[in-house]
Amino acid sequence: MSTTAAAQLPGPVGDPDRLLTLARTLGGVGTEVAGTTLARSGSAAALPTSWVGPAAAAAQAELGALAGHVRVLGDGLAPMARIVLGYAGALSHARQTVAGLRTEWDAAARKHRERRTRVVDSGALDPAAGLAEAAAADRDWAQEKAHLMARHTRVMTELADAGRLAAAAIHVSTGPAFGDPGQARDRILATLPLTEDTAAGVAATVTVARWLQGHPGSAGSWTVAELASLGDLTLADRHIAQAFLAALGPVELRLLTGRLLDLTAAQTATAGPGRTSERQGAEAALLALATAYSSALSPAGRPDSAAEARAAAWRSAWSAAVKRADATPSRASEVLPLRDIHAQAALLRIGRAAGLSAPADDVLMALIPAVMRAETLDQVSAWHDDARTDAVAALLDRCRDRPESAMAILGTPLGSYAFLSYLVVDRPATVTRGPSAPVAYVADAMADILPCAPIALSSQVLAAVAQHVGVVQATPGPELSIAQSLAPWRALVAQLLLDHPDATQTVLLAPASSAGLDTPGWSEAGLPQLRLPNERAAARLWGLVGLPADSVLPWQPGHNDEFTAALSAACGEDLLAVIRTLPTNPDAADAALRRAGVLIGFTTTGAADVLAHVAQGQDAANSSVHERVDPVLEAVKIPARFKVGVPGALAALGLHLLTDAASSRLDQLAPTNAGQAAETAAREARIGLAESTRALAWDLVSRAGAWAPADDPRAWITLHRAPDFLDQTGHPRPWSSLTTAQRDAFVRWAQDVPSYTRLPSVLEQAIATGRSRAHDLVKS
Amino acid sequence: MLIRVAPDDLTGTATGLLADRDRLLAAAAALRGAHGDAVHTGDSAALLDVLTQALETATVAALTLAEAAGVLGSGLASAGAAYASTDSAVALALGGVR
Repeated sequence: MSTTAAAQLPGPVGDPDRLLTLARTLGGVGTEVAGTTLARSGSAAALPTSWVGPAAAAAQAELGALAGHVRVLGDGLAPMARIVLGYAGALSHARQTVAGLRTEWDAAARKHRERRTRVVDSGALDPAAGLAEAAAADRDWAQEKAHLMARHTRVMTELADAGRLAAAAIHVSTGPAFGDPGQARDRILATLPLTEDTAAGVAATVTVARWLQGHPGSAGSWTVAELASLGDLTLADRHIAQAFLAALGPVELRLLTGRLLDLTAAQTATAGPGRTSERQGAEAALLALATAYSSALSPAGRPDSAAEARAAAWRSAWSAAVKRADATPSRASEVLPLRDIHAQAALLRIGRAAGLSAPADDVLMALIPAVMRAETLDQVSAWHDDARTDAVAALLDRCRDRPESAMAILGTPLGSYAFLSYLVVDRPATVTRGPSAPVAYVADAMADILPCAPIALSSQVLAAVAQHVGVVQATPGPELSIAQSLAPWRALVAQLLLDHPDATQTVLLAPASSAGLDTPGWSEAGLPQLRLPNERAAARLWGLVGLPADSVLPWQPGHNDEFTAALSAACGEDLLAVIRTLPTNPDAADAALRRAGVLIGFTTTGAADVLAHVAQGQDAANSSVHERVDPVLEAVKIPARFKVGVPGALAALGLHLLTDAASSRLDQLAPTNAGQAAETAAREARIGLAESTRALAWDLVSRAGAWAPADDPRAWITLHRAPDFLDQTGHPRPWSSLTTAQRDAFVRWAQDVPSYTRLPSVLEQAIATGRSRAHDLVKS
Repeated sequence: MLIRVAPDDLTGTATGLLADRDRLLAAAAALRGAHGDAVHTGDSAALLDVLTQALETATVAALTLAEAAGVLGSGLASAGAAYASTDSAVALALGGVR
């Protein structure tokens, strides 16, 4: 082949043999991938069915996705091999064709040269003919070259087309699977959360290790200036944060936090410009640590997600490390400068103030045993009085933020509300110092938590309060009245009584579960004088409503102020004031009256149940009815001062009717029939209550003046020349003070006034509802 | 949550996954080596581009999938070896004990 031919008809670039090698490689790799267990099983890949649970589900999902990807990879390589093979064939064919064209070129060129030679040789005989022949030879040669070049172009075009077709085919067969190379890894990992999380963790560990190389020595010795570079780490990233905390460990974290807290203590605030700068640096470092603490220990996703499973595993390992580090000192007198629990409490509080996410519940729950231990041991520690490291406050604040978590947190460590019991029952006696030591602090926190928390938590709070009262009463030493020991909780209990009468009554009347209530101390307090089947429950009831401990029987005026306050609070808003809004806001008046009615029906029925037990207990003892039961009946009477208020009148009404009827019955019956008498009295009281309800509602409307101007009673009396039933203010006098004629006139007027016709039925229905709920509880 | 883990089953699955990881790594190595052959496609720039990109993508994919098979296989092997008594412990094994 001549260089001219090669130059004029360039061959296609490429090596078919190398492409054949490539095709074989792709085919081999495809076969290899397709032969993996994952590719063979595909999306049907399954783990042993004997393994179940969230982790198993996460692993199964990962396995299925992985197997699917592997199959896609294998499936994509085989067609790619075929395409490359096809192009290699096209290339080889083009190379051969071009080689043929070059041969033809050379032949034509040789032929042309030979013709020209012959023309030259014959040119002397006939120059003109020679010139013509030469021109013809050149023309033929030019035509031949053009023909060959056209054929060459066609070959090269076909090869280019084959290349484009191959490219398109490869793109179609493999392109959509994993995207371009820059995206492939991320796209795959997005469907493989376990792997993605692991990879992120590994990368984070490397990043943190590199940072730590620039900060040798103990974390506790790092200067504030060095700590400024914490900003180089993305501590808001969970993996970075976990790697950072893991590298430090609880002990180094405590040392570092403690030193930073020292630098930011209040007494260092006015120590000069240099100190101010250092303090600001320390505060920034503390915020960075709190950020890491929050990021590392917050939930990582849905509870059933793989990421959360792994995050939970990490948190569990961290909490175990903290527990080991915060082991109880060998001597009870030993006081650590700063415990791990205090360091973590500080980070919790800083994080909360900065609006950072709270650590997961399991982390907070794991801290609780250390809190309970440290509080009693560290009474003399300087940190104990530092609000910044107040672990109880930190935990309660997080419960306030997340009331749905309160049950889990307050239920720890034994899952039986041990922490709540500690806070309410044990702690007040053992912890006397510290920012959150006062019981009122816990009561305030509970008041914030309970409205948003499940009702079951409210019940547990009530039970703990009742137990607290019992323990206080059973403890030898300076005697506190039940009212005194209950004082911090009274408002909370009253609120619970209003919001959750069912749950409240359940707790008040439930058999006691605590051994603390069944102690000799109760006998000394006099409560076991009530020989009831559920005497401890009754003791709870009377203890909670504030009967004096040293003389539960009989009623002693002046000792029940808290009781009065509690019931007033239970009735909550000023019902009368609400009813005054009746013309403009009937719904609010109805709702207020309905709430009060439910409370009346519920509490009176519950009280009747207790009284029946009282009487039955006396029957069993065959003792004097009047010696035992009458004081009880006396005790539940309401102070006169309390009856003045409208809410109090509502609440007292049922009890008065009940006790009056019971006393009347008991006067006439033998002692051994006291139980039956009490039940009869309760029935009569209910009848009396029903009859009185309408009059009570009428009186409320009368006092509120809740009628339209068109219904003015003065005008009606004048028009109908009826007996005057109004007082000096123009409002109807109370029903009980009216004469028969006045009552008739009042009824005739009121029957056309909407407030008088509707509100009694609202109250009656509400009382019936409350009674029904109480009955349901008794039955259950 | 209590679980009923059959260690042999888990270990068998783990072994299979780790073997697959090795095969995928070998595949990735082969694919990476194939880049040298791909440049011999010649004048077809379009084919060279797409082929090169496909090979790179496949290489990355094979490496990533090998990594995933290693993570999952190691986790299952650890779980099977430890014969965890609770699911959370297995999760811990899957997450890697730190």
